[in-house]
Amino acid sequence: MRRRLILAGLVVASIALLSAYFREPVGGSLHRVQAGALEVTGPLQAATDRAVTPFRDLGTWSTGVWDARRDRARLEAQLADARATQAESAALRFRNDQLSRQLGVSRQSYAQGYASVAASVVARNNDLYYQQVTIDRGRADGLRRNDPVVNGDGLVGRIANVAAHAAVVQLLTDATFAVSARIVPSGDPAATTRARDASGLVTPSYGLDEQSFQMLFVNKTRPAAPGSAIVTSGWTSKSDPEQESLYPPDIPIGTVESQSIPNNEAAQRIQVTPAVDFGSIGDVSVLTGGRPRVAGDGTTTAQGARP
Amino acid sequence: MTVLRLAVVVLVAVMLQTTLLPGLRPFGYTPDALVLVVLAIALLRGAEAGMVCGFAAGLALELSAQTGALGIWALVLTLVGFVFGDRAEHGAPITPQLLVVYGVAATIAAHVAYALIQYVLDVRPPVGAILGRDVLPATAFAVVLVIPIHLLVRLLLGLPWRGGLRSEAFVEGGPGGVVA
Repeated sequence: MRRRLILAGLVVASIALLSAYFREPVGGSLHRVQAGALEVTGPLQAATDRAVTPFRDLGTWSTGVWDARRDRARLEAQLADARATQAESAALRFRNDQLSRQLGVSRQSYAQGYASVAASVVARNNDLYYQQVTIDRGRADGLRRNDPVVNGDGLVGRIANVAAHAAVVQLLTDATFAVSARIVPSGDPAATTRARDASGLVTPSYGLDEQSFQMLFVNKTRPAAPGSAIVTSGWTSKSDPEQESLYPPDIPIGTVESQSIPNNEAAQRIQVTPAVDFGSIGDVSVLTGGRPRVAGDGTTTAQGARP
Repeated sequence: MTVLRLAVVVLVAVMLQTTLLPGLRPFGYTPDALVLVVLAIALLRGAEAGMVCGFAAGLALELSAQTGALGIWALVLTLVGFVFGDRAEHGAPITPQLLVVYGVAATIAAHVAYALIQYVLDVRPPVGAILGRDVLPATAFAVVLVIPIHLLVRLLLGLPWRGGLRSEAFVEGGPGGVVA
């Protein structure tokens, strides 16, 4: 009897939580509790992440060289020390490469006018339903909800939830993510005429490959050759600032992999190869603060200023 | 003391599930160790401990990984804890082979239940993606990890090794012979 009461209580509690969570607005009490939990779990996850980093680096390295190791079993004992050193230095080289590219972010044209806050990923959630990571920077570092997140390769995602010293980044691979984009045939955003570029909406496409993207609503008369670069369009609007893009223009998203025009449709469907390797995100930069920029019609708006 | 050990096991499992395992991603997929930890607790400590730890682990996962809505994993893991804890209390045999069967069953049931709840909430990936990217990889990892995790949880809970893979309390106590 006691067990059944406990079971009933826990089931009712779960369903009540779920129901209340969906009924309340984004700023509601349960959402605030969830954000508040980040204050506790963020530092805990950061500490755990630091503790398990050697194991993770070793695991990553082991997976990469699995085939090569198959033939070396006889020498494994003799090489154990050398391999440990190699694993450590490979991890350090990888991290050094990532950090070097991070340093380059602040020099990119799209980052001009923004404060670039460097952050490290301390927790990951990359299942089928939610693609997000937790970073070790938060409100105290100037981060705000919806701030764009980039790394040396391009757009990573946006700040979805922010606590004082940690924040959750919704990745571009999350099923609910979408970003307005344009195709740059020449590969150089600065050298093209914006009006003639093909524009559309980049969203992840469900499939066995979690890093699969598509670009929708692209006018079929516009060029979209395979290999062309795809960047954020950074829409501005004089009449309705709420409709403006959250992201500055020209952040790399990926390249055109292939394109097709479904029967009786006026738009192309484009498969996109992402610029960012979402499987190995370690360090990112959050573009925060925004900058005044001139819209196509000559008006000035403060990009990144709205939540 | 038992409650403290259970809390530590759940906390460590949640932290590793959100930091180490998604970072390792063997073969490109993240193992789901949390279901197996709840299963081990249920088999070793019975339905009450299983469902309470399942609820706590699910809620902690949803709070620490910020996986959208609260309550889904809490509900799913509560049920996993109850079902397998109840079976253990009623004398269900636990051999290495059966442990693998339990691990596979718990993982498939948990992930299918999670997908169904998401479906009700209007998050509807194709069935092929659910199977290929979620259920099947998690099941394959469960086959490999269920016995090591069971033994590790048993060690962390400080249970004596008499009684094979089962908790000694169930061997001697039968139905209702819960926590020693």
